[in-house]
Amino acid sequence: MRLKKGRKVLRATAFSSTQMDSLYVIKTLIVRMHESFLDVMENVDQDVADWLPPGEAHPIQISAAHILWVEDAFVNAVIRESTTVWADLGLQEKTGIRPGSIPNLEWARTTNIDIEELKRLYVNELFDNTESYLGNLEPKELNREIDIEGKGRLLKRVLIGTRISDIFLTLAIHSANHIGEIASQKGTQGLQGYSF
Amino acid sequence: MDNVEIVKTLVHHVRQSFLDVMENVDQDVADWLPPGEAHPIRMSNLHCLWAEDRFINVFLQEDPTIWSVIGLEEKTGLIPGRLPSAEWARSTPIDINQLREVYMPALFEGTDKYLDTLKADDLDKPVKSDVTNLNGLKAGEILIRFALHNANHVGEIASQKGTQGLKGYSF
Repeated sequence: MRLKKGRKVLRATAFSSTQMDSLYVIKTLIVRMHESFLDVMENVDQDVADWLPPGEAHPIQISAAHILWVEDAFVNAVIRESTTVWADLGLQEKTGIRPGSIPNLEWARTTNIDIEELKRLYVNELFDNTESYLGNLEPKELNREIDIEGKGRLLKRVLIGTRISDIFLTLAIHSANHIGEIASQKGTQGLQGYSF
Repeated sequence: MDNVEIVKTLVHHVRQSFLDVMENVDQDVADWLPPGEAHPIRMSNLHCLWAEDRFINVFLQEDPTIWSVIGLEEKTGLIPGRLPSAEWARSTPIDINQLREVYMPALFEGTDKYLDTLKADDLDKPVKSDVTNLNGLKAGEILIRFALHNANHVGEIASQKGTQGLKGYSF
């Protein structure tokens, strides 16, 4: 398992402040969410990730990828107006998938995701990128409004608001929801959801 | 947004997502037992509310739980806390309507009152807890952990609605 490699430097950056000011709250929220993702995915292999639940629930492979794609899209495409880590790593070209919302239920239950590749190439790079961005953010920047026109048809519906702080709050809640889905579908396969 | 406004916004939206995911859950859907070891929705629902009660009232304010104050501890024999085992989580009956009609209004009112009194410096105050990894954390960190915890369980509920062939979230 290589998921946790490289996390120490970023956590130290994230907790360089001693008071729970606005930026400290947002950093703590995102770092805790990242830890929770790493925890729930720790013992998920390709077979567990591929398993198709009964009904209409999403397999773990798509929940995991969706968490990462949304973070990549929010932080890099929406806030920074830059390319996604997914694209920079060549995964967009390789897979033909663009980070964003899930097109439909059928797609969610039939698209194949290489979970080992996500873990090996994408997760650490993405989380490092996000925490590094937060580590260099000026506190006043949290209140900056982001123009979301043309950046995704669902954004207006899902975002709490359009300030940078709002986007990170939305990201944390969204990711935590899907981490819970992963835990639950591990449980449905007879596995323990979280490590605690 | 100052630090208190951020925390209040976070807690408010986690609650909204809880209310959204539970909107069309009736007793039958809540009682349905998933395959494997996953928790039925009734237990995820109760666990979210108990967590809010313990985090906000017991840990942050050193008060008794709303659950006990309004007599539900005596009535049900259940004491808010960590779920003892998967077996217990999957076999303990929970009256979803009692949670909705009696417990949630009192619990949410208490939480909102607490959040309305919060000041910027309060987030830095250390908190006492009988849960080892929470004891001594700052109040702000406790509120963050509570929000993420409940957002996780909202996701569990959505997923187990999906397993029953229902749509998880309304959006």
